[in-house]
Amino acid sequence: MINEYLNIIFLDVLKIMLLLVPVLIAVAMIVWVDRRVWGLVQLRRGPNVVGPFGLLQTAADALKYIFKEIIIPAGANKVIFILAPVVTMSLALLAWAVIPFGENIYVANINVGILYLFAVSSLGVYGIIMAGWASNSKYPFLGALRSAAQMVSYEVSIGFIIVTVLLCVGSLNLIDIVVAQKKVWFAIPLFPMFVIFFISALAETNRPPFDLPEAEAELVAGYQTEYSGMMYALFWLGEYANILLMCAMGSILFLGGWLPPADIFPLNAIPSPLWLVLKILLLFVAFALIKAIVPRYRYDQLMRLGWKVFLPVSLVWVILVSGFLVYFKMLPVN
Amino acid sequence: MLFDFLRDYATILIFLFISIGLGFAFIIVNFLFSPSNPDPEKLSAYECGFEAFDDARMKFDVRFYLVAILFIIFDLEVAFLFPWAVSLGNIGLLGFWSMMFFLFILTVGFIYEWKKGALDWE
Amino acid sequence: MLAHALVFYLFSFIAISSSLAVISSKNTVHAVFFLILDFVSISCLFIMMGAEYLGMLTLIVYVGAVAVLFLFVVMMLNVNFKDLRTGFLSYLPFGLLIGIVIIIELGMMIGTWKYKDSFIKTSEIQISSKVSNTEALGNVLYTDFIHYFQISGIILLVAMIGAILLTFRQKENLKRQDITKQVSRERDDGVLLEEVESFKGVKLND
Repeated sequence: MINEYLNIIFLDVLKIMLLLVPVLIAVAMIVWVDRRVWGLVQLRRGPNVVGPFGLLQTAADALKYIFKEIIIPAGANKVIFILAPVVTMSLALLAWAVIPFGENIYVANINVGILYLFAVSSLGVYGIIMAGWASNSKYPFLGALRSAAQMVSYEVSIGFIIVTVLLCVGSLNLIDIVVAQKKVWFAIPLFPMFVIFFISALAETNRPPFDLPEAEAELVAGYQTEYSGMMYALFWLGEYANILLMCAMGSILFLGGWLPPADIFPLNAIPSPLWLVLKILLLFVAFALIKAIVPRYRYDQLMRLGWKVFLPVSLVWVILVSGFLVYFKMLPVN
Repeated sequence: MLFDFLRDYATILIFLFISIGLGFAFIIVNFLFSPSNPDPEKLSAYECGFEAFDDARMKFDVRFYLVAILFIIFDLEVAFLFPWAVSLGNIGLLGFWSMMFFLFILTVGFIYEWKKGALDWE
Repeated sequence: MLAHALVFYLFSFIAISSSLAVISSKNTVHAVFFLILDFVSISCLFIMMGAEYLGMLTLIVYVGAVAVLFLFVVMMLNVNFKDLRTGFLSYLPFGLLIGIVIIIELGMMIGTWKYKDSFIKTSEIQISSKVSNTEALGNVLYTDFIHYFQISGIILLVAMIGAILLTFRQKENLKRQDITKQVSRERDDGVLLEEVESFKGVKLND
């Protein structure tokens, strides 16, 4: 009996390690991609010194942070201060458990996969609020409240967009969502929703042009101001893991997940996880380009965009898509 | 039967423990290898080089409260939309129109807010 | 089923102890964080029962929205617990009365559930393994229970209007940015070309 349980736990830990190690390496690589793209747009090279092509830059930075002194400001709430970066990092990693890399390649296949992803991104607000409040200082607190209000405003439109995709699929399971795109990827009929999802994902992860709460000229580093050492690095890594997660969500919901563009011979031979990785990379390069090019939104403009533009548009699309599917009898039946 | 269903959630639970452990492991490694030179200047809050002017509490800003309440309401609307989207094929036209009426009620509320100016920040 | 029982007891223990910590915590923000822990463990209990939609919904709505609201309010209002706790004895009889009423209600619920099933009608939702939990809910909520559904819509509308009526104060003499006005500006509204003679200035009439 105990043997059976140990077997199960060992198998699970193996699957989790097979996912976690590549994800952590991917987060490190993606930071490098971000800095490279940013540098190339600005006609300079970006990191190319540490390791071949500068690939070990992130590892060197993380190593540097291990040797930095930990400073916990006086009057800060120690338990919550230390818990906040751990919460951010764990939540960003936890959501990867349900992402399918192939028809049978996943860590966990739950029936409400997309709802789980939505819940984990809703919980992501807490790391920020905890960090801002526990620092007991004005800049972090204000930055954290603004960050939280911004994340929360764009989650509503992400919710409506997920509903439009669900209308075309008929199931909450992520694997069903990808399989339903075998005929055509959802980015083509639902293109405006894809664009709005992409922009909302930018706002949700506090990414430029929506990074006012953590921009240097405005609020120093926002909720991360009082952090030093590895805790600061954890926030930074957690943010990039979150960005990768949003790219993965976008690929699964709109770009056909692990499906090749067409079911013909040379494209078929490429293994499914590689297709998903390519799509995530494509979306991330778009994220990085937008960071390098677009000027920053002011906070009230950002909130106006979320509540007065994205919410009505996505709501109207839900009604349109559902009306179209019901009256043309194209609903998925199961 | 119940166990099969929960098998994947058990994996997620183990994943939760592993990722929390990983987070704490990073911090503990930092604790082990960091120097420790305490200094009262380091412990004070960052205020661009000045001493902190007053308490870190800011005045209660009602806008954050309004944004949070609006978020709850629209989140609940999305929560009602999820089962509807999944089962729309089975409930036919009556289900479709009942949801349309619900959305209409909430749109009326949304227009009221817009006109009142509650959606304007600053 | 040993693992099932163990995990159940773990989550129930966390739920009960964090709810006790909520009421006995000296710091309000700590109390809200324990409340969040409570909600999370309850949603895990829901998932263990098979109500996965409800479990995820508890996470999304309670933890992701309601507790965020509590946190915003509690963090910005510096509630001083010592002042709040004075006057405890004068309120004790009333509090005791409410506590006794709640215990009686709980006893009624558990007693009928355990001993007389037909007293409270069970729902008409069939538990089948072919239809997922969310779809089963969706099949009945919008058609069989349409009245409850519409009433909940009206409750949400009232909540929206109430929140604005009670709290919203519009600031006077504030310059706001009107994007439609800015974007719909024509060239004629913004640019004026004037012929200027030498040694004579331009006189604008505004």
